Amino acid sequence: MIVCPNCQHQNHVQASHCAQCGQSLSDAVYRVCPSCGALNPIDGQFCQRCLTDLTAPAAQAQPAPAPPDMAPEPTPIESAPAEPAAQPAKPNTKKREAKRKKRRDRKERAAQRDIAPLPDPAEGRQPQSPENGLAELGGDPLAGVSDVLPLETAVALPHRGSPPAELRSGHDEQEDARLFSSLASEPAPLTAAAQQVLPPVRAELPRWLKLVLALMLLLAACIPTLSPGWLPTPTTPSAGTNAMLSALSSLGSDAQVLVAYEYGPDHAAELDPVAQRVLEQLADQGVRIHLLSTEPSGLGLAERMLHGSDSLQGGLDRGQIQVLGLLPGREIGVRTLMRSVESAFRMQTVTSETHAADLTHTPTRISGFDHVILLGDDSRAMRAWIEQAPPTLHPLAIVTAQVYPALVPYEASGQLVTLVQGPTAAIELQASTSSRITATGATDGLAALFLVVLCVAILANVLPVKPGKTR
Amino acid sequence: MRRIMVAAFAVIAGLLVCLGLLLPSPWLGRVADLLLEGALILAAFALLLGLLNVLRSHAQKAVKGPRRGQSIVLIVALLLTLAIGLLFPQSAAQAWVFDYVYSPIQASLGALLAFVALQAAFRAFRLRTVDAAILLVSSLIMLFLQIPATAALWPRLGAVRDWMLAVPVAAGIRGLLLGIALGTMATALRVLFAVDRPYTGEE
Amino acid sequence: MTPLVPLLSGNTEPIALIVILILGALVALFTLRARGGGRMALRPLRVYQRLSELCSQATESAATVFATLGSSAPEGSGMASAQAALMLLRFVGRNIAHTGRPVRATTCDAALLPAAQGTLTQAERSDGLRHPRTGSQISFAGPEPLGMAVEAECAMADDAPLANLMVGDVGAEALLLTEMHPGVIHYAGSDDPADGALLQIAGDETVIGEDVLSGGAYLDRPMHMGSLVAQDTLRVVLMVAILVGVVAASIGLWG
Repeated sequence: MIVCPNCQHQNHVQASHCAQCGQSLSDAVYRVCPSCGALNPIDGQFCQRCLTDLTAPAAQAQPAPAPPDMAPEPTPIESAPAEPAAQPAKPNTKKREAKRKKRRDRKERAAQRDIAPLPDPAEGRQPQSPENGLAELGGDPLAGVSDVLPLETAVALPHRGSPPAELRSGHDEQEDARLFSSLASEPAPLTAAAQQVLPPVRAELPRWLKLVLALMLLLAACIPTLSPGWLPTPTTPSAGTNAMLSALSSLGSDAQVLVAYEYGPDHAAELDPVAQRVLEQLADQGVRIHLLSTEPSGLGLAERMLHGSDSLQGGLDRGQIQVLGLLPGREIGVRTLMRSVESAFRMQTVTSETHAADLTHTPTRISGFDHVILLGDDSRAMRAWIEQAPPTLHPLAIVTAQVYPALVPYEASGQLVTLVQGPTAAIELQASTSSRITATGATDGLAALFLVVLCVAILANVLPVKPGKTR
Repeated sequence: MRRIMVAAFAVIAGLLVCLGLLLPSPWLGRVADLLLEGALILAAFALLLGLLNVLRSHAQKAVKGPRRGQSIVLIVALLLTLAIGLLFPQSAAQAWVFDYVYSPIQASLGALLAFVALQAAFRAFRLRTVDAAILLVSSLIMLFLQIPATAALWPRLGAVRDWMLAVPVAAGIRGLLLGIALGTMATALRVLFAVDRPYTGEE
Repeated sequence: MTPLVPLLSGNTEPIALIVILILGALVALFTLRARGGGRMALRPLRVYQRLSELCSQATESAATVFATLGSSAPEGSGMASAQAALMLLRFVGRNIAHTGRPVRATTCDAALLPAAQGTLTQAERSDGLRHPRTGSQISFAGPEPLGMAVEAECAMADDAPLANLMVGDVGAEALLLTEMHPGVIHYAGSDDPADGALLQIAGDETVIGEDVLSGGAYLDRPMHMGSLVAQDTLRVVLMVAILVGVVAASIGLWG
């Protein structure tokens, strides 16, 4: 098959003219390279792709192969009879040469796209004399030009830039790359990704509503001082309060009682009234009282109560009441106390201007105490005391309303002598004594608080509240 | 090696204290007491560490930050109270600071809780779910029964209140306490077996 | 009233030792099984699922997370809740360390402060943070929970975090934070029965009781599943013992 140089039509091997455009095919002769199969001009000495010597004996018998897209295998093609290379050029050669050059360039570009490896240019290269090569081209286009470099077949060589210098990454870059790859390749469970819905932002209550709620609460707080006693108060204390009073009343003048102040100033209003009442009763009975706390603020409240009451101050002066001090470490401190009172307070001495701690009248072990009274606002601290107390010693607990339900099981199981809720116990004690007015006021205050909560519950379900934004 | 030694020391100390508290051995009991006293001393030093942390963080904020004034007031108050406590222990000045500064501030913050609790109750009492309805009804009932006047007006209500506390509430609390006790024991055992090493911060 | 545990003339230590030995054996057995790849089913807990989503949300929005560690003391019975708080801190710290916004926390227990600092530093280092912070983002706010709440409120006003984790020994002070910052997602949890009701109305996502202590098994510590299964096993044993005791006491065999 002969490819027409004009229209690239593939003609029969014996054709003298192109079947499509009529171009004479007498000049369209190709020499096939035996190494890479490239089409080369019949008068070329070296293959323009791989630089194989085409004039070698094996190369001369090679026919031109068919174009790759037309036939699966290159078939030998009988080219037109090769004319001697030394034949003189025909007229209008320059035009033809230009066309040939164009064809050669096109083929070279196509050949460069081919992935076949090129042989080493140094192999099989025969020194080419410029004169011979130029003579094959039909004349020396550079005749008369001095200082001309010899023709090179560099155009046939693939152009390759120099390989880039090897990049070396630093330690920081490697760390970044490792981090990036761990992040990028981190598997994301589909279920988690499918549930990316966070709860909506809770809407802030309107300012006027906050003001209304605050005013209602303030009014309820003022009721105890303003009310003349609308509601009746119980004349007898409840069973828990009675049990507490009877337990305290049974103590003789030589009894030893340990009182633990486990609450802070934020709950002082709930527990101070009952605590003071209990201490005063014990002081009147002549009981020896020992105070301690695992919280610094509890100790301060104890000392404030002692100095604030005449009977308690007197007991402090007589040495009937003493402050053992701070028991640090919470549960560890309680545990140490349960093992030995002496070792718990060995490193501490409570001194003041008028009182020195005297442990000679303090039992050395917890079992030496007749009673342990716990005053607390922290459920965990209360449970630590109750659970670590020896089986023979059952504490008496006076706690806040919040903690009370959490300790009911301990009372039911007998680990507590009695459990008393501070605020209601104070009302009951005041009602049974001369402080009746205070008790009725407090009762009205609790009722007012209930009404406030009821109003809040109604308002919450009646008033429209703007829903929160979704994130 | 260091991690193994730390873990071994923690495990051995934990086992000694545990056995010293549970077994009737005087020697083990003394060792356990000694280790517990050491822990008490560490707790006191931890408080010192916390004090230094407060000073450092607020000193940085006092130099630059949106609440410079508040940080300065805090640092001054802290140093002043510390000086009073160290120089004049158990004195009237110390009692004054507690009675007229610390207690009122704590009581005020506690009172503030009442307001925010009411706001939270406003949100919680909206009847959108069954849980909210149960919360609302039970809260109102218990609050009503807590008023001493109810027992005075209707004595049976006092018995109802006692029953509610002794039966359903106690049952629920017992279940919670049992689960918490098991969880606490399991956590302690994980530390004893060195599965968890909270003392090193590692996993 | 009859004491709860009357078996050995008032001594409870031997019983406690027996229970601990049984639980210890079960924990060892199931932990080894978990380590060997044994599968154990857990009932879903929404709060821990939400926590994973929270970390994703924080990563996407480059927002920070705040933690209020409460007054959990790493000693005594508070150790378990302190561990739970540290576990959540570690999980969140590890998952959002790469956002560049530090996790900040406040505590009102001085002994928990160094533990929390170490935990957060290790968590950030394990996430690949090349220069982990020194742990200075954990602050101590004094021994009072209300003081801690005030410090946390100020910190949240400055940082505008996406969420606030209040898991541990947290009480009524949580209300202060949830109402002062309604735009923040509040995760609240306490193992104290007295605080459960308050936290239920305070937090957006709440966990109470022993669910607080089981966070490790849900989050990043599959080894904890063994101890969780051991707890459940012992719980069944105790339930059977209680039922047997109730029946025996009712028919007069024991009492």
